[in-house]
Amino acid sequence: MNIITYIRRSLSARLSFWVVSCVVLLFVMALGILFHYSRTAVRDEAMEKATQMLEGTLLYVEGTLHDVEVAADNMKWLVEQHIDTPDSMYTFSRKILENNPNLYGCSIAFEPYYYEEKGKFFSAYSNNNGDSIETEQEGSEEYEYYYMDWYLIAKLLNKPYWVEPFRDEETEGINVSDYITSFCQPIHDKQDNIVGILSVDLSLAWFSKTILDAKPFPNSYSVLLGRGGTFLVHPDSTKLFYETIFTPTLEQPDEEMTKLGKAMIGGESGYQVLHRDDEDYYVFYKPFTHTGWSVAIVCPESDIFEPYNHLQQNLMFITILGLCLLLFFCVFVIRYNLRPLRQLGLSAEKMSEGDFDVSVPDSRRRDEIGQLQHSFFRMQKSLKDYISKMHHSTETLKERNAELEKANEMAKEDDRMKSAVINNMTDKMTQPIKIIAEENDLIRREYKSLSEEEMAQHVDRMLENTDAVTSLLNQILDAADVTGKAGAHYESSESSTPLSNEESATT
Amino acid sequence: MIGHLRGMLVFGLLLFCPCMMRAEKFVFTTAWTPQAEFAGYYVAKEKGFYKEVGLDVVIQSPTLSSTVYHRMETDECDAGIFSMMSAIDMIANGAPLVNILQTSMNSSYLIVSRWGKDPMKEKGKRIAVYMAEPNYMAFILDRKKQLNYEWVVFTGNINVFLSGGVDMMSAVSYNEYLLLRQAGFDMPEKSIFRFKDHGYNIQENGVYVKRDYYDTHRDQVKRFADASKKGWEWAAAHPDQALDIVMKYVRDAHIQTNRVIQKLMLKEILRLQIDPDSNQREFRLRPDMVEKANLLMKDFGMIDRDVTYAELMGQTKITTTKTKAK
Repeated sequence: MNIITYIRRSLSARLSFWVVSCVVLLFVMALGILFHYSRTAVRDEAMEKATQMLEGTLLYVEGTLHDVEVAADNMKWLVEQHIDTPDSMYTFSRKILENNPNLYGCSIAFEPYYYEEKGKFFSAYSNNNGDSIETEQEGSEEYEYYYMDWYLIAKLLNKPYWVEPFRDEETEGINVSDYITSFCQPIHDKQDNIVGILSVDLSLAWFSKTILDAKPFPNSYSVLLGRGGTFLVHPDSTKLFYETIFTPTLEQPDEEMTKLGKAMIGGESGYQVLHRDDEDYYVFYKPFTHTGWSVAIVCPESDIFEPYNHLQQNLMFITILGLCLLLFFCVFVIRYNLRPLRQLGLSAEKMSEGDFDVSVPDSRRRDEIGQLQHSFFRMQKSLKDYISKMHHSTETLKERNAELEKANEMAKEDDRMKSAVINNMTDKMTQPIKIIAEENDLIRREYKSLSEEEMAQHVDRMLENTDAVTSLLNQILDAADVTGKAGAHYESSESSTPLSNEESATT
Repeated sequence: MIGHLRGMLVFGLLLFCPCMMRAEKFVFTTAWTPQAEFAGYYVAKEKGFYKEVGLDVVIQSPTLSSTVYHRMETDECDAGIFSMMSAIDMIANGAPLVNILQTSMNSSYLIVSRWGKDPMKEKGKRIAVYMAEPNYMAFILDRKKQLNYEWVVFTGNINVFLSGGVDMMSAVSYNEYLLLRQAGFDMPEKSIFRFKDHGYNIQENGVYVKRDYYDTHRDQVKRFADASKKGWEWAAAHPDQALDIVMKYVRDAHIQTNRVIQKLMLKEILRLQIDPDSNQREFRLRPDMVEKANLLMKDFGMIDRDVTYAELMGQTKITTTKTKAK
């Protein structure tokens, strides 16, 4: 029997099913509303957390960048004040590194032939290698610094500029193996002409550590994009400087990624949801005001909604457990309450089979089922009495029928005996009547020839036989009298026909 | 008797094992750091095509301080890659070169403008051009159209352009154009001037040797050219495997690039090798393009004499008259 058949056939199962269905419906509605608002609240909280961490990181980094800019500004003022003493540039480039241990290097570079005595190239460069500060003139035919981004862009823009991080490994002399970014600003002479560029270098390792430390969730990570979308900081080192956020889209168009990349390099703030590897990622991004770069915190949805998922799992577990308990309770209570009905049903079934002595459950309940039990009990009693009376009438009728049958049998026996007697008498009367008829015939034919004596003999013989016949007739009459009485008794018995069972039942 | 047998054995080994013979060293300098632009040469080396012709080819990359021409001039290398116009310029200026292999059959040069503007309407604006390889076409266009561009020479990459320091940049379709796309830079078609589409379709990269080297090593350069062609044909037939080889060179040189860019670059380079008329990969200089390049360069004062097709192919005597430098 499958569950549907069972539910159809069982009132308690059907009632339990409907109760639980209603409760499930209510739970779904209530939990749906709860989950919706919980999810929104958790997401808002996670976004707030990620945004705050993003802003905190930006503030911290920008604070450091600001310090670098202030140091460079101060140094630029000094350089411009001492523009006529080129050798002092070595001191200045060294001094700024001594005063700012965060700085990796400093170039004070000038236009070709700006100092005639220095020739085509003059760039005072100091580098902090961690142990000491080295200073040298870095320009040469092999390293024409004025074609380099750090010099050229600031000169072209004629304003301070943070250049994209680069690995300056092709320089000769001091080789910088680390990636650096430079804050470059033009140096002006008294006529406000650009005469050179002051550049201070900052190690990207510092950026990388600070930005990668921004980790609001266990599996979240941060990335830093350069102006062209290049990954300047990324947990996957194979992407660093080699790929941009748009690289994968060159082969396979990806609207989500392109939109995110455009927003980030466009200096926008906000968040976007990316779908990757069957999971959604929330990407919170904000630009650096100083450098034009953009930092993003990438958070897997599973991390953001972990509290929500935890709550959801717990609630689902409790709900399912509660529904199971409710189902069990409903089945138990309803079955318990319906047990009298089931017993009444069994009793009724037995009664229908003729067992009116079956016990009918009784209880002290005063509800509908109690009333039903009492009514059923009374009905059983009434039926039992009626059936008992009917049995009694039937028995009486049976006895009467038996008596009647017996009387009938007796009457029939009497009748048979009477017939036998009459037949016997009739047989006995045959000979005297035959003799009488012969004597009569003899007398009629030979009365003339008969003597009186003979006549008398013949008459005597006729009389004797007549007496014999008369005697037999008397006997017949006697017998008829007896059978007549018996027949009268039979007649009176026949008039009262035995009752059939059906007739007796209807009475 | 034993000595006689030993001698015969050595002779036999030399006769039947040419692989044991010492390959001739041939130093070749590409036009730039390792990238898919030179895939055919890397393939020829890695697949043993150079060895098959008895050459031990060393592939070098130039640096900012040591250009291809500088290396050839100082005999640091035997062959190098130049664009056809660069070669004409050098020959016209008294540095005789001979083309031993022409790979490019089309111009890849273009000018990209910022803000979606038409480069032809950016009169007097700044344009960035490479220090390593001058874009002759841009100079010719500037003079012909009287655009009065302000030239900004830079060393490489697209940072100068992205910074807004210049309004336009000279680019090639297989490199900077792809880098700009990779940087998410919006380039509506009207902001791109493709020289090929405006009557300036001039062949570019080819392999050149100095004339004196050519005269004394004709067999060697022919073998190099044949093996290089084979390398390019193989790269065209097996682009994915060729890309694997390119990426090996890229990784070894710590080049800041990625497989996607190199794949697109190889595809574009192979496309540029198809002759526009025959639709075949021909590996030859086209006399008509040589003539056209001469005409343009002479008209705009870049050279003051014709450098003929025969001269480029090493089929004439050297003209030693030096002309005024550009």
